Amino acid sequence: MNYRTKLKLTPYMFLATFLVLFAVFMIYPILYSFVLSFGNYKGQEVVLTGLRNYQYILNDAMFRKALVNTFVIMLIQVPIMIFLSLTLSVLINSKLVKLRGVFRTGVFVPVLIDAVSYTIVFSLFFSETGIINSSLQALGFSPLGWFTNGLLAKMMIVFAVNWKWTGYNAVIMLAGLQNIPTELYEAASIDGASALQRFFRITLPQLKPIMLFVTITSINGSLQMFTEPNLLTRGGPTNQTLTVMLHLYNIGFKNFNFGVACAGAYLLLVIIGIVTFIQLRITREED
Amino acid sequence: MNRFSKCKKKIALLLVMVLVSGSLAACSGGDQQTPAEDSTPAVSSSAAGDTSAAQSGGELSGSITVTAWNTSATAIEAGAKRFMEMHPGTDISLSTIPDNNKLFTQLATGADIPDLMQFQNRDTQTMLVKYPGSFEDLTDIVGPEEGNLVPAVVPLLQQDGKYWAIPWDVAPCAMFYRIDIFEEYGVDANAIDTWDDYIEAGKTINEKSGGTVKTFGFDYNGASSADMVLVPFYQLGGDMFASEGVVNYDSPEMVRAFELVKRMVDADITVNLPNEWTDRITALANNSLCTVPYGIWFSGTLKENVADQAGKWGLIPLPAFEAGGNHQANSGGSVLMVSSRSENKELAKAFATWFLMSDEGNAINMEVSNLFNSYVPSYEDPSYKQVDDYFGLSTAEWAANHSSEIPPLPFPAYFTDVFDMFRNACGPYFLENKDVHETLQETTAAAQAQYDLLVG
Repeated sequence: MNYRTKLKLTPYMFLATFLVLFAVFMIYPILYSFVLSFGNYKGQEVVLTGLRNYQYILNDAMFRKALVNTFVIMLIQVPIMIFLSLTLSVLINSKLVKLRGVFRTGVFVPVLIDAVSYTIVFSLFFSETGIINSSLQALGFSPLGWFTNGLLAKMMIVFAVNWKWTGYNAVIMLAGLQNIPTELYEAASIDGASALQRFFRITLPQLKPIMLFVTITSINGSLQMFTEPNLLTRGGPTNQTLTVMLHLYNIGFKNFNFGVACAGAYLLLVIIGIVTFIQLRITREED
Repeated sequence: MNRFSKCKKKIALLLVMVLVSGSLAACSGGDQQTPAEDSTPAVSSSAAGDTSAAQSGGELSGSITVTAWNTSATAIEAGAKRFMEMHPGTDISLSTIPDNNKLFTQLATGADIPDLMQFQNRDTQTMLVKYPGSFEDLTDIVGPEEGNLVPAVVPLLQQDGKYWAIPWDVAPCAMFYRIDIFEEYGVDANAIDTWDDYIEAGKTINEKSGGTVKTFGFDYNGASSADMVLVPFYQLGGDMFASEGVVNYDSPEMVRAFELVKRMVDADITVNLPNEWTDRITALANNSLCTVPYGIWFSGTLKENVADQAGKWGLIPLPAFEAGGNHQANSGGSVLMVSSRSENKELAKAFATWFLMSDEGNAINMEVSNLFNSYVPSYEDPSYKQVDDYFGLSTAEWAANHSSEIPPLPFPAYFTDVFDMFRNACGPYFLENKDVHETLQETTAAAQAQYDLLVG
């Protein structure tokens, strides 16, 4: 092997561990699940059945219900989270705030907590006699049926997801805020722009690529939501918090229709692709 | 900015990244409830080496792994301990699991399958069609005992004229009730003959306790369990299939069972248990639930989970739908099956045979966990007559006296999936007050589509 080939190979050697793992645990499952989506997995063998699985999942009323639930949760959750993240990031970026380091760490901590643990804590908070309902009672309200009312159950999931991911997104936005050149603010101040004007005319437009990134990842995250509904509500009451992923999990790992579950996952992939495409389009036209 | 602080920043960033990736990995790995896996060493190489000795017909040796749940696990652990004393050189390790979800995955992928597995009666036929080739033919050990088994379970064990499972417990239903609570509110449990009487008793208890004690607890949503609705359904001899391959939930039996439970909800004698199994234990422990209609195996659950309520629990027959009607049903029951991939089938079969089809094994089942097994000759064993201090009577004797008119067990192949889909009918009816026929028909259509896909 001459020096040149060695030189060319070196980076790939360094990447080899990652590439092998990526191939085994990402590429292979992705391709295999695509094949599975056209077949029936039974007794460790795959029998190809054409488009039957797609036909089944498209006619599955529960899949449609899960899609609607997922979109409803997403439409409530993502805007609230973006708003809170933006507010938080501006606050912890402000020079008026003391102990910024502490606050920055504080908002980020929820991300580090295991999803299962925090979900269990939330289920205790919202249980019939949990801290939320007892606080409501102490304030003179009647306790709420977080687990028996569909909308409340959805809200509970929204609260939980927001608690975990708001800080994470705030930190990403904070990085964006710190990249905005201070000269812009100085020039605006000299021209007599108010704080609000500076926020809407400088901060927001400058933050746009970051906001877009955060929105897309958040939407993707909500469309694939699984842990929170699985542990908090198991999809109940009456499947009103059944998300697409939870439904596909049930099909795959409770009923062992791996083929149908894979077909559903690929449908979800197409849906996420379309949603992302629309978002990119809208923002591009505005530019 | 000096170089030193830049370096610190980089380290901090790296640290954060490591933490984040670690927590993300934890999320994706921790999504499922993984059953406890303690004490489940894989079959060691030495055990594999011993297999030949075990199979040559000599002394038993080597090791096997077993999965079981709840009080059955407690019983089989005690059985395994005794068996290992009788046969030095054998090693039986038990893995207690909350349900069979993980086991289904293992069977589907063919990896890490235990040698000996417990299955619900209702799942047995489904296992045989869904995981063909995964189980060992047990005709040589179960066939000769056919005449000694409770007849109702025999069809569940067979496929193509062969036996694939050894029957464990059967579950004649009893209405377990709190003697002290009934006495406190002046209700005579023994006077309850019909479900109407039961509802009246429940109303009295609800009123006199100021609504703090409910009589009937179940998951209104059906997501965690639908057992309570199915007790009256099985009592009526209901079947989720109209004929082979034709699902029908909208049967007269199901409608009657649904309407009965709905009347209880309307009478305010029920409590919603969203996570039925654990919520029920909690409700029992804090005295807010005073009856449970369940298979006789539930006596073991009571003893293990609310041990301090000893002497407070009694048994009456299930209430009938009308005076003179049937008081009996089966709810639950299980089998043991041997993996066809087991490296020590001889030991697995020998242990299961001894544990479930000998007086000594059945006595351990009864004494440890009140399991009423399918092996009829053991009903004469003293352990089946012995008074249980917790209940003040012999639960085995009680069960034996209340199993003569149990309707046949309607658990054909794919029942597991048809049962699973059925749960979806509960929420719309019990929580959203939808029309009973409409709800059951809608769910039937979904179940039929799923069935056709599975079979086709």
